Amino acid sequence: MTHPHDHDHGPHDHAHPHHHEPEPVAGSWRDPDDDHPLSIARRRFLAGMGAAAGAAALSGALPAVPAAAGERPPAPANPWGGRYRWFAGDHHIHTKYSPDAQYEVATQVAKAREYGLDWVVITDHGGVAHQKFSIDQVAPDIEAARLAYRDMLVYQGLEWNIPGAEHATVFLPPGRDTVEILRAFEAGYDGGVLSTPVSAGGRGLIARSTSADGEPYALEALRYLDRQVRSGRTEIALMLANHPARRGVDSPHELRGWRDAAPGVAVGMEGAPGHQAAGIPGASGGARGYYESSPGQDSFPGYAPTESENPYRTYGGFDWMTAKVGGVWDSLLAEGLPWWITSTSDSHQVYLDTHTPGTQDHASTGSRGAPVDTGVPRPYGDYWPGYYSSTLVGARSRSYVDIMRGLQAGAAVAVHGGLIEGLDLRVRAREDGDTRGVTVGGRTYVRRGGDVQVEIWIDLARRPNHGGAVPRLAKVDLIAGPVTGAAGDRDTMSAPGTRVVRTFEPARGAHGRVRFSHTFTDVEGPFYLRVRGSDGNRLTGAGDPVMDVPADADPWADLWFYANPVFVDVR
Amino acid sequence: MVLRQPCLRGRPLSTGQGHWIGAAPSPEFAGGTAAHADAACLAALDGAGLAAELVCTHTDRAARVAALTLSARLAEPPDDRHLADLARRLGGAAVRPGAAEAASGAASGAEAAARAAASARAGEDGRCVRFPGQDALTGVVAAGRIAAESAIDRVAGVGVAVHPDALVDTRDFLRPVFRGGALVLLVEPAAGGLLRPAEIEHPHACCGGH
Ligand SMILES: [Zn+2]
Ligand SMILES: [Zn+2]
Repeated sequence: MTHPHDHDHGPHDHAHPHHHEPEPVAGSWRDPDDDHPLSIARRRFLAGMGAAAGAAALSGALPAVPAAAGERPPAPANPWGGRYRWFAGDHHIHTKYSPDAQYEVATQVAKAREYGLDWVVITDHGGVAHQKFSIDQVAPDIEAARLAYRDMLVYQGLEWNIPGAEHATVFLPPGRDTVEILRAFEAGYDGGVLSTPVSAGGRGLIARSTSADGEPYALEALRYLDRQVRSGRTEIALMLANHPARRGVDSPHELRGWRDAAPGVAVGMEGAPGHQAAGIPGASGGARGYYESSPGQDSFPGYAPTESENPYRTYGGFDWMTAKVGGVWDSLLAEGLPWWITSTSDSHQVYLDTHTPGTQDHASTGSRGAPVDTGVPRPYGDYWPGYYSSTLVGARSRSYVDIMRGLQAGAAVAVHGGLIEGLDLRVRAREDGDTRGVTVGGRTYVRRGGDVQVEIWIDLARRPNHGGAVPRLAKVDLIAGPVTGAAGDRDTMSAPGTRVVRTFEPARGAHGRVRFSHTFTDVEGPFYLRVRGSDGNRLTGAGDPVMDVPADADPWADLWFYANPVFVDVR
Repeated sequence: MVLRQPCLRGRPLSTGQGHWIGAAPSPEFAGGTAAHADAACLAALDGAGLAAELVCTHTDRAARVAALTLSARLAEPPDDRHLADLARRLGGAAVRPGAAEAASGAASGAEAAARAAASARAGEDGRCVRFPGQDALTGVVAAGRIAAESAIDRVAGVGVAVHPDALVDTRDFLRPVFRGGALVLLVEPAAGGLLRPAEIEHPHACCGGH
């Protein structure tokens, strides 16, 4: 193993353009015309707001390429009014081809279908054994699952060890070259493969999977995927960073680096990690999401826990980067660039399931073999795909490429425990500007000094979730912040101008579809907005999610959803 | 949020006193979990015959690849033979800053080792794996007792105030950190109304298949 000491190129040496001066948004966060949110909600509910669209419809369209900050997009992205539908899915699922997991591909796909998902990505851990032995076994299993469950979309993917950082989902639509692209990608760029000594079958090029000498390989890896798209070997390829704050090893400059290296490929991160059962009292004894770590050698120093927060914990089940208003996610959005969030199961071993892994040696065979049924329920920390976590993606059809394009365009909402069934967002210029408007993940514009209207329709839960209750949406936060352009410091991790602008409360007893609205008046500068909602069970005094308590976090009693943002340019 | 315990019963020397050494193990010295590396570092110090009463680990970020370094406070000044023995056990460097920079091991390692010793002596940085009073702090103990009966200066809660009577489930594993001249144990809410340290010995191992 080599340990280069490269003193003249530290992790913070980044050349980056600084072409966009901050433009404060003055006086645009108030909406003097609107009444108290509760009465607004009730009035509009009583007025019969359900007329806009069918419960499963999403208005939105999907752009081919996201616009860069500071440039004026030729046309609004994700325009309002198309006939698009939500497709629920999960981009992070393990099988017996992971050394720490156990299920057959067919089992995971069958469970996902049973629990209401339309699409899944099989993401076993990258590494020497997976690259050498597992890929050739999982590919036919995935083919077989597609045939057995024809209404399910089953993607082949990888849980990539990002060199220098955490894990990430990488996946492609089915195609002639899909398996070969994934195989070459893993051999060339998996942090496990790169850090394993040559004598053990790896490449011995970096010190550790998470050490900073891997960072250039991560960027090269994403450019490799981008080239596969540009050369036509695959129609699309996506990367989403998984459990980004769990060990503090995804520094802000790495997130920005991935995004900028291949904006069409590296499109976001898990807003909420999987393992949501891990904090159930009396279960594994762990923390929700298995977020129970503390700073290590490769952790970003800026994430060190303090008396005010611990970035290594989940907050209301969501990753701190997403859960903190004005935090890491907002600092990325404040640059005016896309970075989307999702919610997944990371299903390895399911809470109270009776199976244990098979007895096969993964290191030499790439598989644990068939799981063994012990007949004894086990206090595992995960749920089946779709059982608790889902990512709703807006797409024009139930096709492999369309759903990936929806995710790429940010037409996505992360939902826990079936808190909502759908969300429709319309953001538009009231008069002067893009009066048609756009939806989740979109980009619209208004003339300087104009007003921007936000309308939110939410399909409330109608059925009990798998926790046994019909979830009740207690509040919806509209969050907004100025777009201030490219961050001067690539490790920027806060967006001080971002805040909860407005909180809406659905009327008690509300059912079906509810509508809320808000108007940003006298908009002087570009900004973005996003929406989140909660069952209201666990809130700080400020209405934010509470840090989850290890071994004392019932996930069904603390439900949230987070929608992706809309950017508003000023022309 | 901060508990300051005025009673200094049985209090050891403040961080600035004593005889500090620093060390930089080779990258191959100890892999695995932090707790595993801690044990290996302590074994090397003890094996070299250095009676360290306070031992910290550090992350040295001077090079592209972050590296583990150590600092230790000794009751007696170390002799060069013991330092050389420590360097050999660590496969790296061991230094006694100030004393004509008496060092054993490679120059770059010696620099990193000196940085570790300096930052711990100043109380600015260091994750403490051994400290006076540690052995008595097992099981569930009152926060006030932790500050009163060990080298830990204060017990600080993440998002919660820590009353001296608040109970901390130590899980027999305490890793306070130096911050702004004080040794601070960061705790957070745990099940059953207890507090527990923000760093635990065995966090769920995330498996990368490598
Ligand atoms: Zn992972
Ligand atoms: Zn995973």
